[in-house]
Amino acid sequence: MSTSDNAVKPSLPAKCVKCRHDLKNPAICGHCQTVYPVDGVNYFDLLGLETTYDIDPRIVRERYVSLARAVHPDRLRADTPEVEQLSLRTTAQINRARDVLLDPVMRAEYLLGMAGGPSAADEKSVSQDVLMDSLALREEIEEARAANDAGTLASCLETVRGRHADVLARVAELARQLPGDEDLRHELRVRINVISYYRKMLEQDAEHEES
Amino acid sequence: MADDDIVLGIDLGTTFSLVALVDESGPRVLTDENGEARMPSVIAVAPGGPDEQPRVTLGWEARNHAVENPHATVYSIKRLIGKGPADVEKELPFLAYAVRPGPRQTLVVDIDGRAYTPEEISSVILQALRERAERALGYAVRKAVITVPAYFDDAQRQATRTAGEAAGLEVLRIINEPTAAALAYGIGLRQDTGKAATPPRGHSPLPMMRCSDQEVGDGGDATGETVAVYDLGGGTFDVSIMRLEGGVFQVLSTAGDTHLGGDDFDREIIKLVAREVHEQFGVSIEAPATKQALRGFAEAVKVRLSQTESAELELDLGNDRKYRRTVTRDEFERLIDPFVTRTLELMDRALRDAHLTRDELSRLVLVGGSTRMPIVRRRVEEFFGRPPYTGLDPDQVVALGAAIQGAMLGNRRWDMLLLDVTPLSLGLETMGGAMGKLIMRNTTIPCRATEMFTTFIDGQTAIKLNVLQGERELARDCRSLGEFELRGIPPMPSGMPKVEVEFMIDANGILNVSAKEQRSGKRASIQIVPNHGLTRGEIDRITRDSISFAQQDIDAHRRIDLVNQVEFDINKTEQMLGKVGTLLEADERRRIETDIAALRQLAQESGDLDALHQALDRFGRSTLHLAEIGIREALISEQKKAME
Ligand SMILES: [Zn+2]
Repeated sequence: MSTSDNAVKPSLPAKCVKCRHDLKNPAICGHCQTVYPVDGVNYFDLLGLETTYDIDPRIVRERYVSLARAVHPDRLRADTPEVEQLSLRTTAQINRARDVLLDPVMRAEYLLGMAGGPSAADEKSVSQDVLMDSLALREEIEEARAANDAGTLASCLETVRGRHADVLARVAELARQLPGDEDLRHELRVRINVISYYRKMLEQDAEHEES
Repeated sequence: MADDDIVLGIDLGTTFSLVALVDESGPRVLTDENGEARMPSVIAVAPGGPDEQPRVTLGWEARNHAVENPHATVYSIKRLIGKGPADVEKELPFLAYAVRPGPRQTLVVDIDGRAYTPEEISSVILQALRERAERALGYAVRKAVITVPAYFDDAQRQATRTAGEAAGLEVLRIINEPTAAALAYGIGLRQDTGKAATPPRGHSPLPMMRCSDQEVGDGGDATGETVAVYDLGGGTFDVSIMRLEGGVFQVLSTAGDTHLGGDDFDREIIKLVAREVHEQFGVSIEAPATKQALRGFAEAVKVRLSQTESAELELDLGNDRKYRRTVTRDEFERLIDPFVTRTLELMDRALRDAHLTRDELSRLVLVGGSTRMPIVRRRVEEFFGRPPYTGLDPDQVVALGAAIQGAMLGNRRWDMLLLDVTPLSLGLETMGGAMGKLIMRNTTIPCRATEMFTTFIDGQTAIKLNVLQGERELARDCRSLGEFELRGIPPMPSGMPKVEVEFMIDANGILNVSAKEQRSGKRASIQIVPNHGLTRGEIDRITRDSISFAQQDIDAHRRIDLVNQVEFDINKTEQMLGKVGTLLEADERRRIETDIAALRQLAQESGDLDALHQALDRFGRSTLHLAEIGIREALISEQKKAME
């Protein structure tokens, strides 16, 4: 994934460098509309949220919209190409923050990264029995599809959805306990890896329906 | 209102184009002297003398005389813009004009031995619309928002913007057609109170229900509403799902097919006739004039069948041979049903990507001339479970929306914000030929992704990337946006450079790439050889020359780039020699000086660009040692500074 998801705790000014008013948001001064670069700012801070797994999607959307309205290059009166460029980059970052925080898996993964847990590149494994199980399921789906067996296909997909929901529940449970110990972070990583297996299976089914 | 404030909204369509604007009285579509808002996207070129400019006619005139001048009458150019030969294989047999491959997987239209790029042809249409606006206003207009199908890829967007520039327009924004349509509906624009599909056309500005940012959308409330826009035009199909909430128009997802539209319906009739003519008379329809005539027929039959249950077809094949046929609506609908089914499948995909079900849509809006067909209305209604919403003329709504976006960007008359998405995933070809995705489809724009690269060979100063768009797993099944070459990486041992490349998709949905070597902090230069598009030099040329065309000289452009790179590398090496040259053996120093002189001479004289390219690479390798010393010395002096 892109490196731009890594929060690196930059030193944010507490006051606007231009008008000296308190900065209520790291991206923009509410008083004089000076835009700040937010590379490396934690996504929760960026949207003015508490750093925690349980979020209210409605509030995330609300914060996002009001921030985008302020920072977006179409709204901001940029006097120079540099400010225009900054507004573009900061908006892109706000867009990314919203997408990550609204997705339960990406949110868990993001928190895991903040807690210093292994990244997808560090730890690619999934547990052996899950792997076997998902391979078996995939085979069954393919056979049912080849045989035009709608009943079996539907029940297989139901199983995949069930597994997906179970793992997601476990991911949430673990993400709430972050930073936790090394074992917890490792387990969370492995579970997140598993989810993408199931997600891909469901996606492939949808694409298959289409063609 | 100052002249400067006027921003045109242009719907550059496959079959028809329109222009609209917003002034004190509100948004309105501009019409020609006959009160017609639509201008056929057709141009005809009459050959001039050897030194003359070709004479160009366009719009209704070109369209009405298409049969007399079939090989020089260009229509549906939108189906070719930003495309390559492989993309249009299936279309070519149906075109009455000649299309041949251009440089770098582009296409050119060949009329009497002259090559016209799709950008040039589109720019003629844009220019005519601009002139229409200038006549209506009485002063010059420079700025425009131009619409494109939401499913247009980067090359198609770039090409459309180029066409605008070539028409003397500053293109403030490339906006997606369904988004523009939603914008027109979203600000509460109305032409009538409800059902009528074809409201009166004309000059009069449209009443607006509400313009405040608090109450956007007809019937919208605080929780907002979710709208699907089903846009079936002459050549393209798009569906966009969007949420209108608190003065923000947010596109949630989009899906489409840039080769699906009314043209395909015509083509089904053409295929039917061609087959039967062949069966009955043993003749194939090859002559451009017959093809063109048949096209006209097919379109008329299609339009007719929207109103009546059957239509008569008659084709004179000469020598007393007449082909006669009655086509019923039923028969026609059976032919085009697969296309309509495909649009509904794409609608399902868009809903899935937006994480919504059909029931969660508050409204479904129909846009585009092809949505007038009964089969489209019927099937969409079945799909949606309710009648679709058609308050505005489906032909005009896109241009109106573009004008509104123009006013939003130009003088910020509406306190609203439009957030669109990128229709296709963006990625890079990885080792082994896979597509490595960096930005997923339906990500809100602007968006960006960064990726780190390093070198594989000691002293390597350039890295090549193949940038892709598409959803397939293999690079070769995706669309290559072109080869991006990062240059000017300081020579270092392999694996040492850390080049961060940033991919930014801006609010036009157009990709911008920048790169920085992190150890040295140096910006790497990026040279893009676009596929399916024009180089900067070519754009400048058509902007300058408008529609006078010389044979393109691609080599000249490549030569300029190479010579620039040679100058850059030589300067860098000379600087390095000045700084640390004394640390080299006298022999090596002399050799580098000789190499510089030789390379400089080659750059001045050589017509062989490949040889120059190779010489440049050799020069990079032979100055590697010097560069390493340079870096080492720089690091040492850094360390010294840090110690002080
Ligand atoms: Zn301030």
